[in-house]
Amino acid sequence: MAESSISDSAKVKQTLALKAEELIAPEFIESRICPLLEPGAGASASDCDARIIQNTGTGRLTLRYVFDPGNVVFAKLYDDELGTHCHEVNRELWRRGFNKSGRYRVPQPLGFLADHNLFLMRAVPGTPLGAAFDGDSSIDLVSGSREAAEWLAALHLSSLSVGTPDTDWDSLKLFRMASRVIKAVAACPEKLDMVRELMALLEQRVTTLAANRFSVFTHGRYHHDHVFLSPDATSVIDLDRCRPSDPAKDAAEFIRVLRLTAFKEGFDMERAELATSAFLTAYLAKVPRAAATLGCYWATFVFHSLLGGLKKSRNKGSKSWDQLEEFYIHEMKRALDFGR
Amino acid sequence: MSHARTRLDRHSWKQNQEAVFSDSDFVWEQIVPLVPEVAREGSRPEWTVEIVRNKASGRLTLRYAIGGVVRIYGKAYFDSSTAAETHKCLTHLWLKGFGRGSNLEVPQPLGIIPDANLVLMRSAEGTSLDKRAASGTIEAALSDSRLAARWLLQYQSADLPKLRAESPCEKLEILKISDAIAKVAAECPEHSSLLIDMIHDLRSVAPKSNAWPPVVPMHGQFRPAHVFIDGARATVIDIEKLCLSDPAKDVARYCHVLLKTCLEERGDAERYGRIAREFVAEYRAHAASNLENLPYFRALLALKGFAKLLKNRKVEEIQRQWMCQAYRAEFERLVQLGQVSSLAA
Repeated sequence: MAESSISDSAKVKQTLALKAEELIAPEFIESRICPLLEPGAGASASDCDARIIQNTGTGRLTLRYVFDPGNVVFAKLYDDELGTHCHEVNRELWRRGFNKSGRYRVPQPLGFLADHNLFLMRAVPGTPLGAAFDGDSSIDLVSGSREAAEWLAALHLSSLSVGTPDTDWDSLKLFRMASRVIKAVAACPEKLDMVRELMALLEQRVTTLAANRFSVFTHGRYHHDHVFLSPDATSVIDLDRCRPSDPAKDAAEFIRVLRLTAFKEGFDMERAELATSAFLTAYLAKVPRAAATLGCYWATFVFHSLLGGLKKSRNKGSKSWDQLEEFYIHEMKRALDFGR
Repeated sequence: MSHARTRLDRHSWKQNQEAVFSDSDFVWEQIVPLVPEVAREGSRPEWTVEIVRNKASGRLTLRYAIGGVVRIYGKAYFDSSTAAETHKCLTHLWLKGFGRGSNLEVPQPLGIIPDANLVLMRSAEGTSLDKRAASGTIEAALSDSRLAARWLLQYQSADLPKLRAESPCEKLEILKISDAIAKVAAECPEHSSLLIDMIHDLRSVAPKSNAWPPVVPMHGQFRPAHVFIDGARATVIDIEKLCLSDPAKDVARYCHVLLKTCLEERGDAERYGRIAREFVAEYRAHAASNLENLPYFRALLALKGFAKLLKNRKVEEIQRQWMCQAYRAEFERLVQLGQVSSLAA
C-alpha cells in the first residue's frame, strides 16, 4: 500500500504538471485570466511572470501570475471536487465581510474556471506568521499569534456553513492514526508499549467526546504559514478543507504546529510559550466553548506527529530524534491535562 | 507502567477473592441467605464451588452447587460499581418483561453481596446455542437463531434507566482495533502493508456522518454461547457492563462468533452461514433501519479476528492459514457489501 500510495501521488503530480503547462501559456493568460482583472489595471500576458509554485502530489497545484508587484494572482488547480468547494467558501467568506472592508480577510476570489477545475484569487497582503521562525524581525510571534486567534474566532463565530459536517473520527483522523500506528510499531517494535500506553491515555479522553457537540465552520488546515500579517489586515489562505466541525480542531492544530516548529528549529521556547498563551487567551475569550475539547484534539494531533516521526526516527532541524520523542510525549501529556 | 499495575492489582484481587468465595463461613453467612429454598431448610447440606471463568479481565464467574440440586452462579467484579450496576440491570430486566414465563428471559437475580462485589443469580435452563448450532437438525438451529434475534430485539427496546451512552468514537472502536493491530504489526511487521490496506477498506464502510441509528441497550457479549434454549424459551446470560450503543453491534458480534466457532471447530460453513443469515433476516424483518452500520461492525470484527490469527502460534499452521483466508474473504465480502449499501444510500 505504501508503494502504491507513492506511485499514485507521483502520477497525480505528473498529471497536474502536464495540465498546468497550458495554464501558464500567454494565450491562456490573455484569454482567460486578464479578463478577470480590473479593466484599468493594464494587465497584459506579455508582462506576466507565470509559474508553478507548489505541486506536492496532494491533488492540488498552485500557480502564481505576477503582472506587476501590486498585481499578483494565485491559482489552484484541482484534480477533484475541492476546487468548486474552495471557490464557494472563498466567495461566501469574502461576501460576508472577510474582505478589504475588514481587518480579517481571505483572498479576493476572481473566478472559477470549471473547464480547467482552476480557482483564481488575488494575493493577500503581508508576510506569513511563520516568517518569525526564519528570523524575519518584522514579524512578532506573540502578537502575530494573537492576530491569528482573532481571525480564527471571527471565522468560528460566522454563521457560514458550507460542506458536509465532519465526523468525529475524521476530525480526529482516527483511521489515519490506525495506519500510522501500524507503520510506527512495524518499524520500531521496541516502542510498542510506549505507543499503546499513549494510545490508552488518548482513548480515555476521546471516548468522553459527547455526540452532537457544538460545531462551527472550521478552516481545516490552520497553520502559521497560512496566516499573513500586515499593518491593516490579517489574511488566511488555503480554504480547501473548510467545513463544519469541532472548533477545537483548528485551535489545536495551530498550537501543535507552532510549538513543534519552534522546538524543531531551536526557537526560543519561552517565546513560543508566550505565543501559545496569547493565542489561547485571545481565542478562548471569543470562543470559550472550544476549551472543552481542545485538549483532546491537541493530544490527538501531537500523537499523530509522534507516530509519523517514529517510523523514521530521524533528527529534524536542530533536534535529535530522542529529543523530539521526549518533546512529543511531554506535549501530549500537557495537552491531555488541558482544561482539567 | 499503568497497564502492568492494573494487571497486578487484578491478579492480587482474584487470589484474595478465590479464598473468600471458598470459605464456609462466607457461604453460610452470605450466600445461603440469598437462596430461599436452602435458607428455609435450616440444615447445612454439602456444597461445592467452582471457578468457571477466570480470564485476565477484572471478573470471576463462580458456580455453587448446594445440596446436590441447587445450582447458582456468582459473578464477582474487581470494580464495585460494575457489580452494583450489573445487579441493578439484571433485576430491572427480570422485573420488566424478562422474568420467568416470558420465554425471553434473563437469569433470575438472587442478590448482591456488596463487600465482595459479588452478584448471585440462578443458572439458565436449557442448552447453549453454540452447542445446538453445532449439532441437531438445521431446522431446529434456524428456529433457535430466530428466537435469539427476538430476544435481542426485545432487549434493545427495553427501557433501562441511567445507562451510559457510548460516544461516537467509542462506538466505532477504531482505537480498540488500533491497539489490537499494533501488537500484531510489532510482532509480524511483514503484514503491515496488508493491515494498512484493510484499515483503508474499513474506513470506506465507516458511517459517513454523525447521524447514527438511535442508541439502544447493548449487551456487548451477545454470542451463541450466552443464549440458552429450552423449548420455546431463550435465556441470555452475561448481562453486565451494559451501555447504550449502535444496535448493529450486538448483531455483528453474534454473526462473528458463529463464524469464529465454525472456523475453530472446523464446522460446516454452509450450516453456520445459514444460521447467521437466519438471525439477521429475523432481526431485519422487525428493525431493518437498525442495521445501517452492520457491514462496518462485522468487517471490524473480521479484521480483528484476522489480525489476531496472524500472530497466533497455538493453532496448527495449515488451519491457521485456512482460517486467515476465511476471515480475509469475509472481511472483503463485508467491505464490498458496505460500499454497495453506501452507494445505494
